[in-house]
This record gives sequence, structure tokens and C-alpha cells, in this order.
Amino acid sequence: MSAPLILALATLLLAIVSGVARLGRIPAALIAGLGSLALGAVSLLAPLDVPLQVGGLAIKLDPSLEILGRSLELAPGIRSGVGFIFVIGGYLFLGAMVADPGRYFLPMGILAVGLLAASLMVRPFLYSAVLVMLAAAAFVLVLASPDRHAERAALRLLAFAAFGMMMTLVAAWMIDRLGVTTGSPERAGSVIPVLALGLAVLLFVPPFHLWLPPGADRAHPYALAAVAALMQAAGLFLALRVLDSFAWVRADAGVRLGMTAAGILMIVLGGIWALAQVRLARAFVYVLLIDLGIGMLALGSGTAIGYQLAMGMSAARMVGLGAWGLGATLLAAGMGSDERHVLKGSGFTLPIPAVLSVAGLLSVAGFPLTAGFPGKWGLTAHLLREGSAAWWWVPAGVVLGVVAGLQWLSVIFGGGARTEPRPELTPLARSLGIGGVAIVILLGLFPQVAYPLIIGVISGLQALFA
Amino acid sequence: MGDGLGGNGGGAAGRGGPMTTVPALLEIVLAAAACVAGVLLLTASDRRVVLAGLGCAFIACSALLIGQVPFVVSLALMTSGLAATAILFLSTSAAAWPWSSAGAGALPEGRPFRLVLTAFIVVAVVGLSQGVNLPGRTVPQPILATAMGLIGLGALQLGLSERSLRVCIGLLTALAGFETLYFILEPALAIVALLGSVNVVVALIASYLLLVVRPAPPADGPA
Repeated sequence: MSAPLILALATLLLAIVSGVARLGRIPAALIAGLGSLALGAVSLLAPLDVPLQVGGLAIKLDPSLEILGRSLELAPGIRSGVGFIFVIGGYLFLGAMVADPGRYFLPMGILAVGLLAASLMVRPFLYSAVLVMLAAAAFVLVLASPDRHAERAALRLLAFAAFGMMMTLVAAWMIDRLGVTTGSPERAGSVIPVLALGLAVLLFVPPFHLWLPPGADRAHPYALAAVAALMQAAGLFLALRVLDSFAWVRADAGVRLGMTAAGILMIVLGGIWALAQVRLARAFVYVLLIDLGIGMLALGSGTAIGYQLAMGMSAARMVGLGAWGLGATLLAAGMGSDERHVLKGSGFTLPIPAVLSVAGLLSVAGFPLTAGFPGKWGLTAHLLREGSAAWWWVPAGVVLGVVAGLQWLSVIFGGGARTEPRPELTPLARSLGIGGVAIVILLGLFPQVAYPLIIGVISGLQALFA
Repeated sequence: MGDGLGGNGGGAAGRGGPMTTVPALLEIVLAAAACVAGVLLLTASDRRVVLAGLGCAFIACSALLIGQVPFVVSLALMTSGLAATAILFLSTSAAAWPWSSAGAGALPEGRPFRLVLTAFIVVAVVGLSQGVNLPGRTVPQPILATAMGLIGLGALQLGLSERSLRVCIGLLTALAGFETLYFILEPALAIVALLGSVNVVVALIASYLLLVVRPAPPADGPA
């Protein structure tokens, strides 16, 4: 039996089952979430190429699957990445028990998670661009649910993904034909810009972040958070695999400089825009842009520790995104909108969603004692040790993001208690909300518990650590 | 047409099998047909003309590939393109055709404006394609110009409108151009199948947005 085939069939089955309307929101989210977590466990732990006895039946899991001359391979180097994608999916799908992000969130979300996982397994791996494009197509249905008019954001994401796919495929062909090596910088010079454009789409480097603001205006906050979380995780893995696979990319000083410059650009633009928003969702997407920019600085450091920190920050981002998505959903649903004047004093009306959304926002910004802080602290220290002139952009980005977060804290908990009746939260929403805040703070207080595990996800990319 | 770019048999020879190539004159006619179809996609507002243009673009592109790639690859491009067109035809039959003859709903969308921009794109890509020399592979100049022209026209369509259907048709136009070029470079069946599925998926998304998600209210900004 082929492990990728099992993963593909199970993903398809989960998508179909969770899409059955009669199932109800909570059972469907439970099936999708737990199923995705189970697939993550299979990807991480299943013994491959070893004969097993299951109920008297001898089976052996083959790590590869051949399709039309190309293969999907659950290779040791990427199986933790595949598992990570499924685990993020599971975490986000469980939140749908409360968030209710639309009818197509679960089936299309699972399908997209499966496609992103497959994009890590496909050989040659630059073909993954097509699978990422198909995942973006599935995300169109997640973002533009029938009751929301987020098609503008969804179509921008689709268009960017399509052009990113074209660039990556052309780059793959050029790499294959040109025979680029570290000894042929002139050939590398013609491939790298094409490849960089393809990857920039997935890493939301401006202007490819332009689907986020209209998404913040129209899409369901939880759906937006989930799509952003999954797409950037896939983008980060693809970027790390490119760095792992091609020594000439790692060796190119221009690549590191480009990543650092892109990171600084994201911090500056995100910082300016985050401070000038009148909607919580818009402020959040720009704080996210700052966070992604800091992640780019980690990649641009060109060191093993930098790559590990980029991975660690990506996982912390998931925690913040999930918390913010759930909190913002409950807050906007309870108050009727996420605009500044509507949210004034809403923290007294809906304290748990308010604290959850602000905690998520501050975590993504890198506020001390939240999940997002240790990675950024570690990166600042690392860049200082390396003598990088870009080190101070990390605290600058954190300050910009935190100021935006505190601005919203003062809006939400400012202006005194409101007189209107307090909307009731279900016990499940209350417990998920409290749990979300607890995770954000616990991971900030005890990063040593989770960081080694997260960093281990990319330990299979051995060339990065050679 | 310099540096051997006008040759027809590069791909066939490269694959070691005797393949019938499209005669040079027909190649030019097909390239012109694909580009005219691309221009219609950008400038026409009648449903039948737009969808016929899309179908023609895919047929012309796949015909151009005959002899350059295994026949099944050319057939796959035509099949997926026509399937996408059929999906759009069916869904636009069920829903109201969202483009009025006045062409409202996009930033500068007047037909003369579009024609001028289209002319710019066509002239630019024909000029640029003369100088393109792809490493390790000889691509006939009409095919190169067609591919780049359709990519350019598709991108222009994307830039001019945010209407769901126009965006999806723009994407399909760009994909038709890209696939025409890429299948010559990399005619692997797996990638042909994947890119074919991308065409169909984009058409399905257009249908979903047309039939399930109603058009956004004006507050969404320029459509």
C-alpha cells in the first residue's frame, strides 16, 4: 500500500463526509479536525517500507506513488512538513465548531490541505506550484462563501497563484535545462529572478499581499485567518525546500539580500498601514504582513538558526492567527461589525472574544509573553550575533505591530462599559476562547516546550544544516 | 524570425519520432486566429462572441502544437480548454450574462480604450518574442508570439476588471498562452494533466461565483 495514496484517499473521504450538510456544524468540524490531526500523525509516525502485521494481515507502507511518470513521495526529509500541514489544518478545523466560517470551509479546506500536503510530496518538487494553485482554487470557495462578497479577494489570490505557478514552472524548466551550479553564477542569475517571483506570491511579498485587504473587508475572519495560515506555511516550506535543494540559491548573496529587502519592505508597509486602519481585520492583516516580513529577515540571514527561527515563527503565527480568527469572528458577530466605532467598549460586553482577538493580534505582533515573542527575540539576538545590519528591523517591526495591537486594545476596552444587553456565548465558545488565550500565553511563557518540536519539522532538510 | 526560431521540426526531431508539423503559412494563420480570439475576449461584450473567442483560442493553440509535441498533449490542451468553455457556456446560460453592451463595471472599460491597450500588448509581444531565445529548445516564432500575446492579453484583462467572470476568462486566456509554450518545453503527461485540470477548475470557479455567489454590491468598489 502506498502512504501518499492512503493520505489522498483519506483526505478525499474527509472532505466528502465533512461536506454533508445534514451532519451539523460541530460533528462536521470534529470529524474534519480530528481526521486531519490523525492524517498528520500518520504522516509523522507511520513506519514506511517496514512489513507490519495488522490483525493477521501483513502490510507494508510504500512511501511513494507513481502517477503519469511523476511521483508523490513521503520522503524522510519532508514527512514532518506534511504532518505539520495536516496538524495546522486540524487545529484550524476544530475552531470551526464555534466560528462557523461558511458551508464550504471544511470540505474545501480539507481538500486544500491535502493539495498543499501533496505539493510537499511531489517530485520534481517545483511541480508543487500547480498543486498550490489548485489549493488556492479551493480556497476561493472558502473565502467567497455565498453569504459573503469576498470574491474580489478570492480572485486576486487565484490570479496571483496562477501567475506564481507559471513562474515557478518556467524556473523549474530553466533549472533542468541550464544545469545551474554554484560554479555558474551567470546561469543562476537568469533563473533566480523567475523563481523568486514565483515564491514571492506564496510568501505574500508586496504587491502579492493585495488579496489580504479586500479579504479583511469581506471574508469571514476565521476563513481569512485559515487561508493565510495555510498558504504562508506552504510558501515557507517551498522556500526552504528550494534553499535545501539548490546550493547555488543558498550561496547567492543576492538572494539573501533580496529576502532581507523584501522583509524590510513588508515591515515598513505593514507598519504604516496597520496604524491607519479603522477595521480590526484590516489592522490584523497588516500586522500579519509585518510578522511575515520578520520571517523573511530570518530566511534572509542565510543561516541554519535563521531557517529554524523562520519555522518556529511560522508555527507561532498559526497560534496567533487561530486565536485572532476565532476572537474576531465572535466579536464581530456579537457587535455586528469590526469597525472601530462599533467595537468601542466591546471588551466589557464580550470579554472572552475581545481578549482572544487582542491576544491573537498581539501574539502575531510579537508582544512579550505571547507565543509570537520568543521567535522574534531569538531572531534579534541571532542577527546581532551574526553582525547583520538588519537586526534592528525586527524590534522595529515588533514595536509597530504592538502599537497597532495596543491601539485596538484601547479601543476595545476603552470608553467604559456599554449598556446594551450582553450577547450570550455558548459554553463551547467560551471554553475554546479561554483555551486559545491560554495557548497564546503558555507558548509565550514556555517556548522551550514547543520550539524544539517545531524546529524539528525541518530537520529533514539536511543541506540547510550542513 | 532569426536564429532558427522559424523552424518547425525542433520538437519533433528532439523526440526522435516522425511527427507531422503544421505548415509555416498555416502556423501563421493559426497564431493570428489565436491572437484575434484573445483580442475578442478582451473587447467583446456579447456572450456568444466571448465564449466562441475562448474556444477558438484553445483550438488554435492546440493546432499550433501539432508536430511540436506528441499529439495527445495537443489534444489534451484542446479538450481541457473546450471543457472550460462548455462549463462557462452552461453557467452563463443559467445565470444572467453579467456584461452589458455599455461595458459598465470596470475601471476604464470603454471599447476604444481596450482596443488601444490591446494593440500595445500585441505590438509589444510580437516585438519582444523576436528577441527571445529559450535555452536548449527551439520554439517557432509564431508559437512564441501567440503564447506571449495570450499571456499579455490575459494579464491585461485581469488588470482592467475585477468582475468574476472577466477575471476567470482573463486567467484562462493567460493559461492558454502559457500552456502552449510550456507544453513545448515540457510535454510530460503529468504536467499536461495537472494544467488541464487547472483550466477546468478555473471555469468551475467562475461558475460557482456566477451561480452561487451573487455579484457584489457596488460598495465593493470597482467591479
